[in-house]
Amino acid sequence: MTNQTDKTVAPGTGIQTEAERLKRQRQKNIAVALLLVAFVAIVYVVAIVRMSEGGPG
Amino acid sequence: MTDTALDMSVETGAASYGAASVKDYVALLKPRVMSLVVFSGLAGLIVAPGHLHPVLAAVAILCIAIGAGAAGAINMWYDRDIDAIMARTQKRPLPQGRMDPDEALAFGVFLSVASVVLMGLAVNWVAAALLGLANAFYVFVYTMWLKRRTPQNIVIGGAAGAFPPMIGWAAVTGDVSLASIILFALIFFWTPPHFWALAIFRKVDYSAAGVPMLPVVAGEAETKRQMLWYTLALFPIGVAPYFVGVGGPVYLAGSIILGGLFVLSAIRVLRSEDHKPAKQMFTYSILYLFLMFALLIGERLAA
Repeated sequence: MTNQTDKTVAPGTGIQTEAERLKRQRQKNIAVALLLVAFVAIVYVVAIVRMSEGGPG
Repeated sequence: MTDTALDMSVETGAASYGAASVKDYVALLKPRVMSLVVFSGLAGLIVAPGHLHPVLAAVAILCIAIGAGAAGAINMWYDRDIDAIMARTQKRPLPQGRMDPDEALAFGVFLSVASVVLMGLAVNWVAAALLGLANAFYVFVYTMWLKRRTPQNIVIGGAAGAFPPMIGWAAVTGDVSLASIILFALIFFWTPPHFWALAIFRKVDYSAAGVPMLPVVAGEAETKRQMLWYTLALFPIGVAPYFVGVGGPVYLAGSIILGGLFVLSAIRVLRSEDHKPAKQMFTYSILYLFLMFALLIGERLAA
């Protein structure tokens, strides 16, 4: 792989370089990770609330 | 990847799919539409008799928001061809080629299923079933069946957008009652004049995309007449929550004023030759629905 960061990746889409594409990919990965953590937290809190109310956990 | 391979991917456009950012995924959920959906769902949840733990209420609202967003994402996946033609929609991530259509579809389907399952497990299965029905109605009945086939697309398809207060209500009570059907009807009858006001000043767009909106098929005069009929039908429905005990006297007074102004705006549109009153009516229609539900919420919280 040579001079990849200097290459135009997708003209007209806002992506100018491979580095930019990788940056966006990293941001998406972080967003997915945060969403997964939030989902686990929601399920945990819901389970606690449902059990405290006597419903099915 | 060699330079040659990279250049080839540029030529085929395949690499452009990697251009989707987090912002594009958020845009896929139609956040502006989602805000009104959340607000009407919240209203149904607040005015419903009974009690729901605040955490579960928050989860119910989250599920309504995610479910509506997911249906919007699937809609954008299906309509990406006509979205590329219309000025209002051509900046969306799919027509711009920033996102793989398959990825958008998977994103929408996953969130739709997840929101329904979470609603069922966390809140109750009546609310979950209504959420699933609303999503299915929006995707299969409105988007895939009616939108490109009949000028009645947004009349029948409007039912999908009318579900949120009913879902919010069911989240608390676990059932569907007359009051929640009235809240459903409020949005159902509001939808045609709202979208036809938009369609009047976006007629060229819809016509170019081959979407048979009423102004395109039947003309502006007929559309304006229909808009007036729907605002007249909406007036008693807007007042009805007072008579089933959902709204109080402040809501009654507010709904009479707001409904009257909606009818007057439809008369203005009917009498005008240009598109300015239609644009104003479109803006007012959003304010109308927001204020109607704000009155319901405000009066219930103040009680």
